[in-house]
Amino acid sequence: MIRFAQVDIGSNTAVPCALCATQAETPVFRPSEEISADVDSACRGWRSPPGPNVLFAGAEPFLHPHLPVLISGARSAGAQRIGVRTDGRALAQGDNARGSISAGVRLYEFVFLGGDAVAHDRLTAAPGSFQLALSGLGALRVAAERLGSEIALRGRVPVCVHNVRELPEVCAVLAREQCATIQLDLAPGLDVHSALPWLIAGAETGMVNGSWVAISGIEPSLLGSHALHATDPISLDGEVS
Amino acid sequence: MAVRPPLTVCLVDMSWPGYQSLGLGYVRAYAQEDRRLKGRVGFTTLALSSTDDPWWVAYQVLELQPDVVGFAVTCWNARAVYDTCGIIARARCEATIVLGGPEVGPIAEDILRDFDCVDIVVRGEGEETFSDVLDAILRERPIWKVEGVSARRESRVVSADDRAPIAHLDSLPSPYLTGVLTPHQGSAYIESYRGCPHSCGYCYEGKGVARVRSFGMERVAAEVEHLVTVHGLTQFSFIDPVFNLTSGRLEEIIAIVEPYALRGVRLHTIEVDIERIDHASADLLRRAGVVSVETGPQTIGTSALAACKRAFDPERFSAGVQACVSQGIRVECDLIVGLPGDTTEDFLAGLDFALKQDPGTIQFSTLHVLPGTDLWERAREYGLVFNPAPPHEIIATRDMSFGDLRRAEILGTALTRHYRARIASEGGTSA
Ligand code: SF4
Repeated sequence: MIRFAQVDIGSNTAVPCALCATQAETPVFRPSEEISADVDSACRGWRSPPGPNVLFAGAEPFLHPHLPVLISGARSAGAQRIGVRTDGRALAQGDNARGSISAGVRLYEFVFLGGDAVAHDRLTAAPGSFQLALSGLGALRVAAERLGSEIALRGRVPVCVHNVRELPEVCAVLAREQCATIQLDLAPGLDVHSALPWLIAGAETGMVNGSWVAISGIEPSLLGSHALHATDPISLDGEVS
Repeated sequence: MAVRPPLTVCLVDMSWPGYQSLGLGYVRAYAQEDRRLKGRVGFTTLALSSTDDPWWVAYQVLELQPDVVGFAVTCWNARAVYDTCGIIARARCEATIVLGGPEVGPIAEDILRDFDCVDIVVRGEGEETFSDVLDAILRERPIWKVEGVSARRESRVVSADDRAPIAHLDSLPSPYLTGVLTPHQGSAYIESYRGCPHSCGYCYEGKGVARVRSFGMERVAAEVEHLVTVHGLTQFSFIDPVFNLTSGRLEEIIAIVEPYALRGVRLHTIEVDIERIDHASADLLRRAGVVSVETGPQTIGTSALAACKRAFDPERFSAGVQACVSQGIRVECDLIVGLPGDTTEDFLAGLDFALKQDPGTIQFSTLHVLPGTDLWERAREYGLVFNPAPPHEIIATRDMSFGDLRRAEILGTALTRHYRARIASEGGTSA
């Protein structure tokens, strides 16, 4: 599968479930030099094709004051695929969609918690975030088409007790928005057995709408005939930070 | 007012959008040059597509009031062709409808039994047979006696003897040099030989006419020159099953194409046996202006390889890909989902292998169990369940259920989308 080195640009992972979080955290960013050094070392040590590939995660990348520098640094280091994990709101604004594609970002991993504005905004505690994320996805598709660049969209759904029943809706939305893959990432401590029917319903909803749904954080055999859904076309190396 | 010839023929090209039928071009070029038919038969080709509404295709055909309507049928356009034929036959029952092509030739009698709107099916190569059919119509002789034809004798479906393969391909007029075909959407396909020395189970290419027959190099050179100088083409392709069939032949073709490559003409999506490509032959391909090649492995599962009679040497394959990539030639690795013997694990291993090659493009397709192939004939033995209607997609195999296959397709498609999304892809190669 396609391996990405995950490079954390800060802490406070983008869009945690507000209902799970014990307290709101403000993002803390790492210095650009440190991040670039991690990117360099990941690219230099890349042995097995295809790659090198780097995913910026750990905090909302579009809030990092030096994101353009980080992206151009990754390009110079030889990265073939540069990805960002984002809540997507910034991509609806200004020139961010076109600018980031022009800079070299090719993988956009959107973190979604709910399948509609009410659920998503409640779980992110950010009113309007669902609509902005959808606008961001749309802006990316338009920009990619205009630029003639091939980008990949991907949904990431941290699954917890608060959104597990939302999974079919979330997968339907992400598939409709042309995400190639949707990753359902189970929170530690979630009761897998009671979550299972929702995970499979989410996987099937994504699939019949043309998106692959990968389920992580679960023993594949528990998925029975759906065990292939434990396979994710994107594999992340341990966080480099 | 123009005088209507005794017989009018409408050839309907319902190729996949963006393509044109080389086969229909050959058939028309041959018939036009046939002395028996000169001045007696008028030809029109309608350049349409497999996605056009059969009602509108029929409308355009019927406006011409042809006596004979011909279609080249593949698994991709068959449904649209049958629908169109049904409408034409009912609206103008005196028109003779003739089908040919790989989808119908091997199951000619079934087609005639299933579709009463179809009058004649041409089996195998169409040039000589179609001309003989037209001659028989003009002379009011029985069509069912024409070699290579299946037709109705009164109400009974009968097949005449098979026709021998055309011995000297240079006897076939060139569809380009005769002006029957012109480049389509800025590109064109040249055929430099027919037949295939291999016999992959899912392919009809090596099954019917296994012996390889070549066009002369003068003919190939004339077609290339015509396309580039008369039509100003800057890119074209060869549809040869294996472009690098022998190193001697490869060198001869390179000698023809290289001068044009130096002027910027490029060759796209050439099918190659990648395991036969070393640095020297990759260099030859580059000199010929080849920018992309298409190859297998289709599968790396040992059972499926055996069932499909395909050889696979992972080291030679990798060496071939690397040789091409190092010359800036993009490689398209093809994989087929649903081959007999392949399990989900084999499918994943194939994906992984293709990714490790970093070829530039990875392409998935679902197995189509095509008439005239070994898999079609041995489907029961291999436990292949497939749609009997075209395009004959695989439904289930002994090793992969319907659900397994559909999941594999979606996973494979997702992976190729992620693979394509890379910085270098806009530049052409992934290197
Ligand atoms: S798949 Fe290619 S190599 Fe195999 S028989 Fe067909 S044309 Fe020949």
